[in-house]
Amino acid sequence: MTRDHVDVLVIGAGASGAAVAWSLAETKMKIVCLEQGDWVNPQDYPSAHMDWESRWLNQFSYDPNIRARETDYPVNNTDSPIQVANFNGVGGSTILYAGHFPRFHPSDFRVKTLDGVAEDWPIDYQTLEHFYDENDRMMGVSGLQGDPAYPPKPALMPPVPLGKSGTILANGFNKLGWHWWPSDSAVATKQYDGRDQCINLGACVAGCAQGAKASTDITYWPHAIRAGVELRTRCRVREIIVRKDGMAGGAIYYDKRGAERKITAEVVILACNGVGTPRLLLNSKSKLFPDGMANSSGLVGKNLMLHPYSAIFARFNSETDGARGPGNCIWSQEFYETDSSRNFVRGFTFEIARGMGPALTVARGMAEGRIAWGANHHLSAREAINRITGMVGICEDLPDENNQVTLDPHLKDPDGIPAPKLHYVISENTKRMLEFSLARGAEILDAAGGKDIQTIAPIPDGGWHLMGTARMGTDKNKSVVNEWGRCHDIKNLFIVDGSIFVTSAGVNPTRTIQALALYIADSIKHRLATLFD
Amino acid sequence: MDKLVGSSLPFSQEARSLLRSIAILLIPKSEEHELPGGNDDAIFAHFLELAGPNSANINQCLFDLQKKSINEYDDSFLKLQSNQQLAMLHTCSNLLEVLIPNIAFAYYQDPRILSALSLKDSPPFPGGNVVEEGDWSLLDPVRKRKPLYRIP
Ligand SMILES: Cc1cc2nc3c(=O)[nH]c(=O)nc-3n(C[C@H](O)[C@H](O)[C@H](O)COP(=O)(O)OP(=O)(O)OC[C@H]3O[C@@H](n4cnc5c(N)ncnc54)[C@H](O)[C@@H]3O)c2cc1C
Repeated sequence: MTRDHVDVLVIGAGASGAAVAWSLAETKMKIVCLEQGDWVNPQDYPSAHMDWESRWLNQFSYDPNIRARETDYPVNNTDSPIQVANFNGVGGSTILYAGHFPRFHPSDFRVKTLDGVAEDWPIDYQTLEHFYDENDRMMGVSGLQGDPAYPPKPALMPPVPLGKSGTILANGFNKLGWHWWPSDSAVATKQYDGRDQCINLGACVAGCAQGAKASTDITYWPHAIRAGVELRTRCRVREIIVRKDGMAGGAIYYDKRGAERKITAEVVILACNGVGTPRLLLNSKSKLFPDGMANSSGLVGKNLMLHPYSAIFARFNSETDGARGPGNCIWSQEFYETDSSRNFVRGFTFEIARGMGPALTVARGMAEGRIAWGANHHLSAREAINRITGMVGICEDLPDENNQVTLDPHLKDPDGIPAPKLHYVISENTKRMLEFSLARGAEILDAAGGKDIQTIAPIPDGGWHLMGTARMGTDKNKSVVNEWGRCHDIKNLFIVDGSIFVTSAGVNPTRTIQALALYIADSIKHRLATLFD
Repeated sequence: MDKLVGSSLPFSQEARSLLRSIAILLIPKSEEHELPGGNDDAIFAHFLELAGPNSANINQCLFDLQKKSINEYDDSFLKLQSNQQLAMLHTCSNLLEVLIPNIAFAYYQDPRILSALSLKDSPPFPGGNVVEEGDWSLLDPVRKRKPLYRIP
């Protein structure tokens, strides 16, 4: 039997795995990526079907416990007010992400220095700036230059349209004199790198059948594969192998048929996301690492951050976009930076969500008693369909060691590998921020002429952003990886996904996750001769 | 009534009759808007498909509904006047919780209903939707603002 040996083994083919594999491909090293899921056929996406709204909530649900595909792993969320959302397949969670694509702000890397909370990052905005730009080119980002909430940054394509919903809410922001700007979006508004332009399908979070949304199966992966990276699907890694010298030796995985396989590697890179990566490290127990790999600090799985979301919606007399157009539209960072007059530190971003499809609008309205059933049903449904718009507030979550991912003692995935369990409590600071965002959101909707304002906080199924569970730092007692992504304990094991975030900022994380993955790949390339020193 | 729980099919004949009668109570036919009711054949078939995975729970709720109907009116729910049926349904929050989403999804994904509401009556792809660009001069006051971000 031939030995399956590679130079670099990447585990996970999502946002960060794709970026790191592509970047390392130019070294001509032998690179294999193992991914537990499949390629997704765009024809299967809900938006290619009449019943797209129910397919989105079932077969393409972002809750892995509802989707429950063979390629998924279950997550025990019973000890958390917010449930994990993800997708497992080539492209990872970018298959279902909305493609909101904000960068971190310079202040996000200096939280302790500026606001006296959490920890500073060991790197800064300037370190990542070049990699943000490189990632923007690979993913294809639309937006508008000149946003006063950010240092200057490029916009490669025109912004997503303002539409009816954006116009209504922009007027609300303007009445209050508050900041808003077209959202940076990982959505091609023109043909880009072989991808067609957005035609406003409106079901971005169910997967983009048009291929306009930048999921990594259609951005990085085709380039990486052409450059020689081998991507193996339906390969679920059970554990990282440890060599006698304490270095990572490769991985044990199950193939499509459930057969156990072994692959050895000189370098192992984890890209399984903020829940999948600590799960894998904790599942990789050995004599040398009885508490799981890379865990001498005891921090693997700890400091989980999720971005609790608030949602504020209202009904309008004029028509909104409903489900037409990308969910992304405009955002506001009026309340992003710390303001000492508020009763919380740090801040949040408002992101406008254009609206919902007719079935979801009516189902929610009827369930919540806002749309009548019985004789008045038709009239009240008409008053709600394509008449609702609003926003979500993405609140910065600060790290807390009690918020963590552990292994569930009973729950297992289809290959019998222990599943993750969340233990998560929303902090007092974040609760105050959520309350504040609900109140400000209601003011905006009121200024825009909205009625029947509805609020939710936190969005219970909104665990879209998984961060902090193997954080970066220079002190090996207070962090899992160093300032360029290498595990302190194991010099040939790297982590490139959202686990390494030190703090969460008040924006969606993927642009920063990918910029970090490119930065770590670059750090590896520059140190090839001395990588394990 | 015995056939409501433990049937080998997701929904027995009796369960289907009950569900049909509830579907039309929740979403009645409208002459004015020329819309069928929630019990329309095609819509109801889609409803059964959507409700299937939840059938054990729904059958239990239907069993409870029938029991209540017999206790209160000494008759099957199906034989009650519609005002009596409506009054009973109002007290069955568990049943409504599981049925409403499925009925709404079956009804509002039917191309005939969408077309009657002047909504897109085909899948979003490949046709897409038109979204107006909007007036970017609305941004003028924001463009005039000083930088909002902190430089550490
Ligand atoms: C519905 C939804 C909406 C979102 N919207 C936004 C948004 O608008 N903007 C934004 O910035 N972010 C958004 N996100 C989050 C975004 O998708 C993630 O931040 C990003 O994909 C994380 O990248 P990652 O590389 O860390 O992990 P992922 O992209 O999740 O990839 C991890 C991959 O690893 C694989 N894997 C895990 N364990 C194993 C194993 N043991 N063996 C083999 N393979 C394994 C998984 O199958 C998966 O493919 C959204 C997410 C969801 C679910």
